[in-house]
Order: sequence, then structure tokens, then C-alpha cells
Amino acid sequence: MISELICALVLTAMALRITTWLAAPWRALVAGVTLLVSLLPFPWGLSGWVLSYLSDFSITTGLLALVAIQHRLTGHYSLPVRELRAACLTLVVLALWFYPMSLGSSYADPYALGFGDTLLSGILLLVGLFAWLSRAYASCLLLVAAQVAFRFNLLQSDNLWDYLIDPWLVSWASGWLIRDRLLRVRENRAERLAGQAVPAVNGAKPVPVATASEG
Amino acid sequence: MARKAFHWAVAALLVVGYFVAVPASDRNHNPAFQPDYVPAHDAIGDQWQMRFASDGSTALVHAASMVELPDGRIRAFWFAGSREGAPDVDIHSALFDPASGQWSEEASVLSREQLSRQWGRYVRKLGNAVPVLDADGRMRLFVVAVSFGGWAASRLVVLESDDLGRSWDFDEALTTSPFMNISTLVKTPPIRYADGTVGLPVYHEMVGKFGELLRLDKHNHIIDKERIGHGRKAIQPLILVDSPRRATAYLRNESEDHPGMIYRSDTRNGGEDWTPLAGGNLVNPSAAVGGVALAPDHWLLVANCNSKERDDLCLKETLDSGATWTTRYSFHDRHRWRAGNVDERLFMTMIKQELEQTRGDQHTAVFQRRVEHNKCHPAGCEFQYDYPYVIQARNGDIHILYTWNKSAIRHAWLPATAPEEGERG
Repeated sequence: MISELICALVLTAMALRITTWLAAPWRALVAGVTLLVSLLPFPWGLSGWVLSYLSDFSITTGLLALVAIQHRLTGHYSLPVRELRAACLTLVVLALWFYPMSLGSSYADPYALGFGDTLLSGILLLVGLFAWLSRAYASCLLLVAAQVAFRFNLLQSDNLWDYLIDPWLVSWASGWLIRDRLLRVRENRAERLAGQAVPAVNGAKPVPVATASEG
Repeated sequence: MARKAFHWAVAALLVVGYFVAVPASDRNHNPAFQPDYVPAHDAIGDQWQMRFASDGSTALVHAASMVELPDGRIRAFWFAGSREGAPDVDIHSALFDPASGQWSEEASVLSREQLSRQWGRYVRKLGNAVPVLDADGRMRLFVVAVSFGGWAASRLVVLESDDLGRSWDFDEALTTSPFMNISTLVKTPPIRYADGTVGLPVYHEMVGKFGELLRLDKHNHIIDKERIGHGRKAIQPLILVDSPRRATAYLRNESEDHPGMIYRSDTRNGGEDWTPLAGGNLVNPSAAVGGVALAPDHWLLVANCNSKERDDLCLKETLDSGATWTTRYSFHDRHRWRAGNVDERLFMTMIKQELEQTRGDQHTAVFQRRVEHNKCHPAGCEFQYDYPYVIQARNGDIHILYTWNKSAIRHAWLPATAPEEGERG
């Protein structure tokens, strides 16, 4: 049931993402209807079908979907962008190592560590402490939530990795990093252009060079 | 002040997170196999009895497996339908009674609709099924289920039965891969550990082609997974247990660089580590192998014994852990008609001979029609004997099931010879 709930949260976050043009009350309605339609039992509900093809989402994905839903409904974003950027980058780099190894590129199988291994738990503690020292509290709390969910076997999987990450989370993180990069490039370009702007006379706003030359 | 308290609360939660996720005992704590060979029953004869376990009620049957029941009967499972991967493929089952020497009528015990309903997921097709009988009488069936795509998108589900395999209830889906949990299949017999856990040999077919050994507790939770090979080399590991710490795996060759032989890998520490795959001295045409350990270093292997086609099937025996093999029996040998274009009349004559050599068959005409449909094409016909599954019963009998020309599940039964005087007790 937790798998279906997480799937419903992801679908709701996606529905809210593509209906940002709606007024707030309508967005709330969209969220409610999507949740309801997703949580209907198989074969009527969406979650059963989505999970049939994509398999379970991780606890991390579920919590990020919750944050995204809160953001779309209230306008408040509870994750610091700098922390999210670092987390996404870490996730993508980890995935580049983790998935090929786990899918058989070598004898070493990092996925097997997730079935209960002191080494993996120790490494996660170190990662958590590093995040804590960096004041990346959201990452710490996501890590703890995944570990607690693993302890209580809330997902179908018996593997800690499946509570921490999933391929769809990695895809989203990759997309977020690309979008973030594009936005930063655009921002830098705008700042650069603003810096090169021709000082205007009579206290008028500075005009960017390009615009000025066009004029 | 509140900020500082929050800071330290997060640190405390991290420590809590570590302790709740850290395993009570590490996944590798000196695992020990439980060898299941039957003492004093390792001398084999040549008095094989051939029967059909299936009755021809479906066009195609494949991938048989079996388990011995507490009363000595054998319950077999296989998938059956109009064609491999078709929506009408169900898991079928039948019972063999050694006392009467007869198979029961086959019956469907699991459909994809039933599995889909109980699991709450879409199931497109069913595949291989492998049973385990626990000491408490509960039977578990590990079944390959596919929601989309081909066999490379397979997932494993576990069903449980309280009536020795007549009816099944979905228990859970095993999560065995981090990428959409796809591409895990099962084919070969499970093994047992001394602590009561079960070792399930599985294999992957997407991106990599390699074997693995899953270790499951009685609740069907995976507590360990070890890799047998890697890359794109070999699948369907057959594990022969010699002693609590020693076992050998034989794997079907999927390598494009070194085809034509069976791969081998060994463990000396209860399956914690497996040696790199090595090409052995057994030729094989990239087909599944079956086998059983009769005693330490004394194994039987049933496989196609040429490097080209699945048109023969033989039983090989080793007394020195696979260093040397002797062919003990040939169930089929049609290599002289290998071209795949055997004249249909000649082919059907030979099929009729094989049917006549099979005991108690009341479905001869049906099987002939099935074989003609499955194995004859405008260019001619071809023979196919594959997917052997071997067990040794508690009384020492050896049972082999294999797919006969994609049309029937054939049963080879070798009743145990009486142990010699000095070996009794």
C-alpha cells in the first residue's frame, strides 16, 4: 500500500506541475482527484498500472514528491536550492557507478550490499554526517526516513538501495541539473549583459549594449 | 537556540538511522549448504522408464520442474499454452505416483489473470516456475512473470500453497534488481542451507547475462545475493552441492566469443564467493542443463551433448567433481537428421517410435499432431529435446523431466537399485 501511496504522490506532483496555469483552488482539486484516481485498487486505479511497468518508487522519491506538491499548492519551497543541487549531483554520479555495476558489468555487486550489510550502513552514516556538517538537513532527514522505512519493510523490496534511490529519481535529478544549469547560464548571461549596459543619461535605466546597438 | 537544538537533533536521527538499518547479523556469516544427496544410493543402473507427464491439452509446453511430496509422490509444474509468451499460457501441474507408475491428468494451477488479481499488477505472460517444499508442508512456487516486453523484462513472484501444490496464493514479488526490478528469471532447482534458508539460483538477461544465487528466509525475504559470473556469458546456473561449504555451478553458455560448451564456477565458502566462469570439458549448444549430486564428487548431468543443436539428450556421470565425464545413457540422439529439413513422413515415423517407447501413453494421436504443428515447417522438420530438470527422491529414485519437441513433458524415471549389503543403514 505504501508503494501505491508513493506512486500516487508522484502522479499528483506531476499533475500539479503541468497545471501550474490553474488558479490555486483548481490546483487543489486536481491534486485531490489525481490522488483519488491513483489510489483506487487495481485495475481501476492508476498506481497499480504505473507500478506494473515502472516498479516501485523509493521513499526518497515519495518525500520529494510531497515537497513538490507542497510547493505547487502553497508556493513555499522547503528545500534550499543549493542543497538540492548538491544532492542531485551526488545522486547522478552515484548512479553512473551503481547501475552498471549492479546490472552485471563486474563481479562486484553494490546492490547486494543493500540486503543488509554493515559496510553500506557505515558508509551511509558517513555520508549523513558529511551532509550534517554541511548543514544539508533535508538530505539527512531523507536518509533517515529511508532507513527507518527499510527497517519496517514498508516497501516490497528487502534492499536498502530501493528505499534510497530509483531510476526515475535519477532521471528527475539529471533533468533538474540540466534545467538548473541552463537557468544559471541564462542568469549569468543576463548579469553579464547588465554589467556591459550603456549608462543612461538623465537617470533612466541602463540599456543593455545589444539593445542599445539595435536602437 | 532552537536552531542549535535542531542541528543536534538531526545528528541524533542520523545515528538512529544507522542503528535501525544496520543488520542484526551481517549478510555473510559463514553460510553452510545442506547437501541433499541420498546416502548409499549413488550407484545408478540403466533401467530407465519413460512416460509423459503432460497430456497434450495445449499446443505448447515447456520448462518443467518438480518436487517430491512427503508421501513420495512427485508433483511437476510447467508452463503451457498456445505458444511461448502467449496470454493463454498458464502454469500446469500433474502428480506422479511411483506406486502405480502413473501420472495424473494435468491441470492448470495458476493463470496470469489470477496472479494479476492477487498481486494487483498487470501480468502480460507467465514463464518458468520452480517449486520448493518446506519442512512444515508449505509449498512455495517461484514464477517468472512479465508485465511488458519479453523475457528480459521478467520479474519473480512467490506463491504459496497449503495443499501441496493444487492451489496457489500470491505471497509477494521479489525485488532482485535496482533497475525497474526487471530481468530476473528462474529455471534450475533450489538448494538448501543448514539454517533453513533456501538458495534460489536465478539469472539475468537484460544488458548482462549472468547467474546469481538468492538466499531467502521462510518469509520469502531476500537476505543475500551472490553473483555467479558477470558480463554477457552464461545463464541458468545449476548448483550441485557437495558439502556444507563446497558447491559447483554449471551454466548455460550465452557467450558469442566462446560458444559450444558449458561454463563452470565453484564456491568453497558456502556460496559467499564464486570462482570466475571457466569453460569446462562438456560440450553444449547453449541449452539448459539439469543435474544432481549423488554423493560428494559424484554428480549426474543431463544435457544436450553436442555443440550445435538440441537434437540429442544424454546423461553424463562424473566421479571426480567434473574432471572427467562418462556418458551413461542417451535418451535421444538425432544428430544425423540435424539439417532441420527432415522429411515430414520420416520424421513422424521416428516420432511414432519414440511414442511407442513411452509407457502408458493414451494420447499418441494428440502428441503426433502437436509435434507436427510445433516442429515441422514447409522446409522440413527438426527434433528438439531440452530444458531437463533432475531430482533424486528420498528413496534414491532419479527423476528427469524435459521438454519433448516443445509438445510434451517427458518423464524419465530410474528406480533406485537396492543398496549393497555393506552400504545399508
